Amino acid sequence: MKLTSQAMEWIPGEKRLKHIYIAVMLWVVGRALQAAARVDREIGHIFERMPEDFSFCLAVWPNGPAMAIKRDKNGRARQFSPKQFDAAHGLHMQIKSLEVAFRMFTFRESTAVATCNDRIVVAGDVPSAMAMVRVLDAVEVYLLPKFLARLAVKRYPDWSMKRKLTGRLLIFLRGVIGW
Amino acid sequence: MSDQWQAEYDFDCPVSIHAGNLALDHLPFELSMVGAGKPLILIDRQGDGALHRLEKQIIAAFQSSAMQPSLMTPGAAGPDRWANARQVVEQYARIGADALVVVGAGEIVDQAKLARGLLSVAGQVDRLSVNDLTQIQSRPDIALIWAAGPGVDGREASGWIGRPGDASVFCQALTPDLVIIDPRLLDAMHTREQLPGWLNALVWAIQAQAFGPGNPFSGMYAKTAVAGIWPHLSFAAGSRMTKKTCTSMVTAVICAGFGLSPTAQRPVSALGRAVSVIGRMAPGIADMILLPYVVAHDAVAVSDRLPDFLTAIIGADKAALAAPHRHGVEVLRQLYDLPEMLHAASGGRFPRTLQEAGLPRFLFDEVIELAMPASDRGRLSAETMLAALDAAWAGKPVIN
Amino acid sequence: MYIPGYFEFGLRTRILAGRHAIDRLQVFLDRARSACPMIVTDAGVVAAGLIDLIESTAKLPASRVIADGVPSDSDVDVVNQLVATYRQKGCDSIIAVGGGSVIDTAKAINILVSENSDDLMQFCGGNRLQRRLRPLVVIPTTAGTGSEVTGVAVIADHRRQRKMLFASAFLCPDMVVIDSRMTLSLPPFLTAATGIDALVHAVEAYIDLAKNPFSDQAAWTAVELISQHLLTGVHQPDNPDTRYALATAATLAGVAFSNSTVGVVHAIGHSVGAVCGVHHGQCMGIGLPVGLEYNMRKCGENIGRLLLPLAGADVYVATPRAQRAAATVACIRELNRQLREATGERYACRFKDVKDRQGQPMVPREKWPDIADTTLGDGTLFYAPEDMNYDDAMTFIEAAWQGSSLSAGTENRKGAHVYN
Repeated sequence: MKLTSQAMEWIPGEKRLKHIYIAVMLWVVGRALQAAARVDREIGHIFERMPEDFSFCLAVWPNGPAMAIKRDKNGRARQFSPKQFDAAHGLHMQIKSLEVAFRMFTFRESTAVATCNDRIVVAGDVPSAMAMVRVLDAVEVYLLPKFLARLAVKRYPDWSMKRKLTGRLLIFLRGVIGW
Repeated sequence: MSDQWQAEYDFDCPVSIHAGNLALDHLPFELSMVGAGKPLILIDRQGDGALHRLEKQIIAAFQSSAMQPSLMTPGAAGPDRWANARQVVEQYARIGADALVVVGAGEIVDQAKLARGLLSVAGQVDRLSVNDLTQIQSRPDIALIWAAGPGVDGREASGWIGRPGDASVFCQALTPDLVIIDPRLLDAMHTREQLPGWLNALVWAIQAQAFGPGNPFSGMYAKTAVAGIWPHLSFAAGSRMTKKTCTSMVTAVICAGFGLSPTAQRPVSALGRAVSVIGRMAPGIADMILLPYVVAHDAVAVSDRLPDFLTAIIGADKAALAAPHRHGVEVLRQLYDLPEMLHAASGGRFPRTLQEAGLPRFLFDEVIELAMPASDRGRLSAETMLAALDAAWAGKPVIN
Repeated sequence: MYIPGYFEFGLRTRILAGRHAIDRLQVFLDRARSACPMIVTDAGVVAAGLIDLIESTAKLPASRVIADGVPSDSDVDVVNQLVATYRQKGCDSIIAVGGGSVIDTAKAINILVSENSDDLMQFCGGNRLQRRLRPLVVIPTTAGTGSEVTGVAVIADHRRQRKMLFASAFLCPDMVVIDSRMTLSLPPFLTAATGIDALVHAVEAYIDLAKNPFSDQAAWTAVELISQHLLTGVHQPDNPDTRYALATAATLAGVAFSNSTVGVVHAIGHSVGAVCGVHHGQCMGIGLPVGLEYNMRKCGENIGRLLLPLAGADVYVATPRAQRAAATVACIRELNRQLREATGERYACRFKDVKDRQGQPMVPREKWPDIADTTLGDGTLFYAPEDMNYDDAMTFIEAAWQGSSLSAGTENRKGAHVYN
């Protein structure tokens, strides 16, 4: 673009590759979260204690990739389409830009650090947000090898090898099957 | 802490700072938070290479933002600030923009402030008088965000439009709402070229507190400025800086500008401006050499105000070891040593004295004549100016 | 200077300060073009004669409205009542005179009158506001909360038994007036409790994850001022220099934590306050030494640096670097002990000693699980350097209850990671 003293409008493009990468990562996290709620007693317990109409969406501002989870009538975590998420009543966590999301999902900035750096905007009930961050941390511990998970979470939990391996296997299986 | 803050004071600095990695990528979000979706972005016309780089960064930041931005480079009207500001206003109205973003440093930010001023008054006007500007008490509804580019000297985030002390005006209401400091925008210019501006900011920070009126909040910014600039100066004189150091430096420089109130005394800058004009050197260099020589003549400044900076200059551990009654003198000593340090780090390029900087002695009278009418001269008399010039020329520190 | 990879800082509130700063309140009214301000305050402030003082020195317009019904715990019903008054009387600005509850109430009123709404819930949470609100000036009458410079308000809905949190940069007041006369009547216990609250704001801001160069500088100066003046403020309540210093420190600490935030001490303190009704400042003072020990592993260096403004250069230099963090904690415990003595044992150094008017313990063991549960839902834990689970919270509460030193807590951190 040749800049001049006349204002020139332009239509910003899209960062397609990064968009796709993050979309895939969010889908995987959502799927894993749904599965982990059935596999891990404690994660399941968190969802059971949520209000009946609880829904949560982790998205990239403004219209970027997103992942949405709700508590169904049986107290289970259920992934659903972010297009159906009601921002006015649900817990909405938005990452301020695609670049920041890419940084987080390439493990160069943990969720904790990103939150402290005001990279994520939380709209909704704060205790629920705290619970969801705990759940996401646990899911990352299940999904990732230790050296990566350490970068993503504030404190790596001291779980037994049995819990980690069994949980990981079951979450992967359930995640693939979608049940 | 010095006791100067015990007097009545009024502190107003509503500029927010977002600094560090990916700061620029937050820009579309920040615009959305003030309800803007069609920003007009002014980019500094700095030479094709730098312009191209800034433009590229801005375009990348707005990708995937669902916004409708517009770009322009003001400055076609030459040096007339008001003419350039009017040009911005015309374009703003033509495209139906709803926020202003300015990318760069110095003059372009002045133009953006004036444009904001013009947009905030009812009716079409060509320019605003000093009185008009003073009347603008509330911050205009049109948001102004400044993304710092190469050449920052600190005044951009203050209420000054133009360098303080020149034919410039002050209007606090027109300061940017937000300044974005992203290292990707800052390294287009070599640090050595930016160094005089940074030295200038250092002097502003120190003299704002040394000569008052200071207060705990302006002191907070001044000390942060000194703590951010000082440790990196020798490095800046010698070579390129890391991204983090650059961010630290520019952040510090910008907050030095927060202390640039309309009423503060700036005797060092008043004399330094005259030296830089007569001696044809960068203002920052003149100010930096003169600073300790001018401050040394003010006993209250040395004993009561300078101690506040010791921790910022040498660190808490070393400051704790120094005897409390010697803190002011220790700061003064550090200020005297600074040009020597810069001289060594720059391989002899940085002048240690006014003589090395190229100011002939026979021009002292002219310098004093030029400096005396300065509105921010404070209590600095012609005799003191002469004594300071003498000592700074010869490099003879005065420590009482 | 410590500089993080990324940070944000803002001080959106204009500061008018001095021994007679209230005399210049007209600056606010002129800037706001306000002809009918509403003074929001509480009965205690009125009884202390502070509103009379403001009226006599600030020369407020005759049309000003005084609303003095704010309770000690901000309440949504009161907010709605005062919104109705604001509209009925045609007010065009708010002057909040009081402590945290008054300031939060004023902010909430400002939301509704600016957005022309009756439903506060609509704006609950973070970043729900998108434009500047109507003019608001705060004249603090305590030297503690720092709310005069923050963009946060908490309003209780007692009927639904919940607390609504509002967070937005637009909630920052336009101006704060720091006048040494406003805190002269503060009794010793409140001086101690609010002063310690300010100290905790500054300390937590200095050690937490969101720290930045500006918040560090503000926190450092606040710690210096409080350590120099808090005990004097309790012993000599009529000393205007001390009151002024503490009020300035509280605002500086507010600047620090509003840009860096607070951590585990506040998480536990909020929960003890919510579950047991203990005064916020009291919770802070008791929790601070334990909180520092809790974070020692991750922030020992920063905790050690705080020894300099807390204890002075001589102690700092004489203490080996490796022992400075522990010395900082000892310094805080000693300050607590001296405050307890100075307030005739009204100020407590541990939760065990906190009793209600009938002499009943306010933090009994049976409430600890509730406190721990509530702590885990507190947003300030986001910013704490050290994570906290249920077991950690219980251990913390126990140590704070006993007034004992927290062990490294390693036994809890090796245990099962329990979610709640």
